[in-house]
Amino acid sequence: MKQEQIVPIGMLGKSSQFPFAGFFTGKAHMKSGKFVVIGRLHDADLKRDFRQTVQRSKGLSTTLEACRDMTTFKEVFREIWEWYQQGKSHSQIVSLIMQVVTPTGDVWVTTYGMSGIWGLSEDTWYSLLSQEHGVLQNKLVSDYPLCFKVSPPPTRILAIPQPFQNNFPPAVSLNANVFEVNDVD
Amino acid sequence: MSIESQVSQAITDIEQTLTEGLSLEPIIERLLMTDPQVVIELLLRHRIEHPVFAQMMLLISHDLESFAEPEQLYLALAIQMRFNPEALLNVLFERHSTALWLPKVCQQVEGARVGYYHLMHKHQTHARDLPIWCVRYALSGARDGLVAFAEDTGNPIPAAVLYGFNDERAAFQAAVGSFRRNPKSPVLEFLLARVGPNIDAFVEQIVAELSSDGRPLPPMLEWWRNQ
Repeated sequence: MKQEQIVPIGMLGKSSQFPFAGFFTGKAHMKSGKFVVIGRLHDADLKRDFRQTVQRSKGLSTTLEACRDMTTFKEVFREIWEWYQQGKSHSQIVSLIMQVVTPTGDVWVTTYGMSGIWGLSEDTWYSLLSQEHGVLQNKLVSDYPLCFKVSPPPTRILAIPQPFQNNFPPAVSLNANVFEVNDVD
Repeated sequence: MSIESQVSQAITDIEQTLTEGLSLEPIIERLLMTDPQVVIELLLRHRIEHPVFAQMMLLISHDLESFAEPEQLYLALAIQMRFNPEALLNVLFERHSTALWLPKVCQQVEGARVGYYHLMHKHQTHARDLPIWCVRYALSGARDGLVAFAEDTGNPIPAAVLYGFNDERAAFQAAVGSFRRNPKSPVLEFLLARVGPNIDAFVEQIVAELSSDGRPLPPMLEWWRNQ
């Protein structure tokens, strides 16, 4: 069956009553597919870094909007990575993950700053990538992070950002400390 | 003498003392020394319901904790102490401010505003566990108490917690109340950190409501609007 909707994708936050300080997100439905992006500034202070976080979400939305007429999803990925590089200071750990569902129903993911990426299929979570995979080693090709096709697509995706260990979170964290984005309107 | 006979005798003695307007202290002290279970029986089974008796029980509650579970003890006292609930709550928060049964007792005292006094106590003592108590009260169904706490202190946490539990109406009241009390309250900061960055529609509602007050918008909302 052709995949038409974004695979719900989440990113783990810190274990706290306020797990999503430093999270930003954006999504868009355009020619080259449906896109969702989630990012996280590590060690963000919920008050001090609030404005920067909001501005990142706004900047991401503006960048996505500017990609509307691009014909391939890889062009969009590259545009977002350029935006990411411009706004990031060297001392910050900023994790970012993007997913696209193309008009042909393929699911592609590109990411940087992740410890692990998990998929849910038939009620079982499994690691989508081995620990040695170039994506988790932050390998770059022509200065851009790698992307990979997720096939067959799982029913959910969970990203564990660096510097967290790639340990699958307990059920309580899965409910309370994962910020998840669903389909694009 | 059976416990029931002792209880009956104690009821007779106490009622007579109350009728004569005398102090209960000598009787209760004697019972505590010789038959503390009789006092426990009088309180937990509500054999005597009188404000003076209840006040006496509160005074000796620390001693009674040796003979009954604190939860049972204070729940019974909460039922009896409707005339002076703050005295009971002060004792509770001083001795048991982290007990997980507190919401049950506070519910008995505060009714629909459950949580208000406890959160005020946490706020006034700068307790670091205030957020988790907001969560606990919200989980137990408390709404009005959390909103009133936000309105009276400007604390941003109830709005964030209530929104996280999908109670948008109560979260909205708490957020607006916090900003009205303290325009510099970090409501948006806590909201984002609790539920994530998709808060635009909710913030727009808050802006619309506060714009109708005829006063300048809180600085963070003004900043948000200009992004």
